[in-house]
Amino acid sequence: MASVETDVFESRLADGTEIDDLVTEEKGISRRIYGDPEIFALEQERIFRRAWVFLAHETEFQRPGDTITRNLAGEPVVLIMGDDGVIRAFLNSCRHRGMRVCRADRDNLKFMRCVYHGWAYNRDGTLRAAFAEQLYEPERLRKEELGLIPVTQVDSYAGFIFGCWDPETPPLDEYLGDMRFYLDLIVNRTDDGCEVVGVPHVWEARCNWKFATDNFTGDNFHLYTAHGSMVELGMLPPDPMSLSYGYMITAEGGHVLHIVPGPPGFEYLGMPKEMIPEFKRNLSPAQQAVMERSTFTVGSIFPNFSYLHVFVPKEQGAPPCSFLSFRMWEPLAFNRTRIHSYLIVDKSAPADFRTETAQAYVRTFGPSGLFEQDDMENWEDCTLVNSGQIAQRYHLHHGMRIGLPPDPDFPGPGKAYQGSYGEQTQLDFYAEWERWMTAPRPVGARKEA
Amino acid sequence: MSTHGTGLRVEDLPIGRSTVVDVADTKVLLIRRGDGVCATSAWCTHARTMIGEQPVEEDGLIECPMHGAVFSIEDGSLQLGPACDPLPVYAVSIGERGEIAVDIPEVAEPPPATRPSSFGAWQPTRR
Repeated sequence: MASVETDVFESRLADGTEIDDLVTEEKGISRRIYGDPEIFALEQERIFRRAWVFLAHETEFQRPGDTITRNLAGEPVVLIMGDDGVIRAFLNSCRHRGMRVCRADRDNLKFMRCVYHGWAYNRDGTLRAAFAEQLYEPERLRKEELGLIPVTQVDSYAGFIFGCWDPETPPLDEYLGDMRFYLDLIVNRTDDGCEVVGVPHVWEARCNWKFATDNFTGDNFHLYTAHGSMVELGMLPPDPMSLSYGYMITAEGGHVLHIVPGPPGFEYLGMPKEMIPEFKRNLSPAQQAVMERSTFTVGSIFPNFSYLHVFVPKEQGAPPCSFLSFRMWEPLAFNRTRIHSYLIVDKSAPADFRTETAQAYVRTFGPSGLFEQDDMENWEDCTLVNSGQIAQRYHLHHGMRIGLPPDPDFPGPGKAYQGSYGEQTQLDFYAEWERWMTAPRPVGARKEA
Repeated sequence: MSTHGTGLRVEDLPIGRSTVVDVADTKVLLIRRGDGVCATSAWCTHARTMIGEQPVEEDGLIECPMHGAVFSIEDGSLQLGPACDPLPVYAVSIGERGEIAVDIPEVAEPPPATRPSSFGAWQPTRR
């Protein structure tokens, strides 16, 4: 069955360029991967219709009937909590004419109702009512076969719900692999887990989605240039090498991160001291060893789900406060990305910390954040210029501190490279991108079903 | 108007969810409400769609799946949506052992919303 697909699998672009020639250590990275509609369409087919993609967080669903709409590989999906408390995900499309059956970002519904002819679906996706059912001849309208189409695979990790359109993609736990060790440091470290604060910020940028992921592979060395004005405001330490310590880490599966230590007093990712016993209770000794020494961490889950757990002053002159934001970079076109930015907090965090962490996040990140605006400027300009035909004749340069031996003494899994200024994790992310783009089946799929 | 047993006791009804029962050739919606039970027609007065089983929360509202008409289960009044008429409600009596009986008018079942025309109209083919 799979061999047929393999036979017709195209490893070249329309002009004959081999896809695996787009990302090489010698030549660098082709600008075309950011500025070519053909490559974007292939990404939808080979990455986003196959990989596990973040959809929503379980704590966004409080009661039966709560719905959230998202896109998965450019196709609309609706997530809804059933009367049994189970959160399900479906293609958001009526079986009659294809309309979306939920059209709001979020809602609470008894029925998902198509506004075209009134076909209505229960909270579990089954078809409840079609218009004028008595006018169908018997057995013509088989309602039991006309439920909403479920997303092929749906699973969650620490409350983060992911969806996947490909039945051959390995289960979510296996897909996340070693990255779970590092995710636990930020979302699985307290007794009751974490939750979403408010609703996510959602905005669009005229950039290729990979510039966002690239930046969140742990690009620490853009801070003192792109965010140079933050030094003047006293919101970054003045020494431009101060964030160069720590590690670049490549977990398996193209998941990558940076983790950086701080001066004494900034341990445990800058979280309130009274939470440390809870962290110790929930984390393994190896995880504690990593978290104990760390002040901030930034990373990405392949392909488009990133986080930053940083420690910043919420305003000029204020003491630093840590916050955790997750972002999903939703690819809309080769030069358009919708950004979903969440503030996440431990359910057991003290009340005053919850206030401070929200203020620190909203002043520095999110669409009006002091840091975020600098990033948008760069990602949009990079995308615009790299879309040019002349520019695309020349590859981009990635070469800072690559090919280093991993530190064998680092307590966490994956390959940990000492020092967090470097481009190894970015190259590892692009290598994974190329692996999916040139694979006839999902990366990690079982040999034969 | 005559009183008909439903064959159900109060304890048979789920809490927070409507139940459809056939009584004297009429589809009746029963909803447990505090110590009592409310009974309404199970057919929406708008497009004659079966309102049917569904969660009923504290607000005591039921929603037609088809066009979203929302009715009060207490008095059948229309709260929201496209219907013109309230939902018929039926008086309920509860026996000593919790047996539920409802008063059904002689002609309770509403006519279908869309009746094929009697002259020359398309008719579904029966196989």
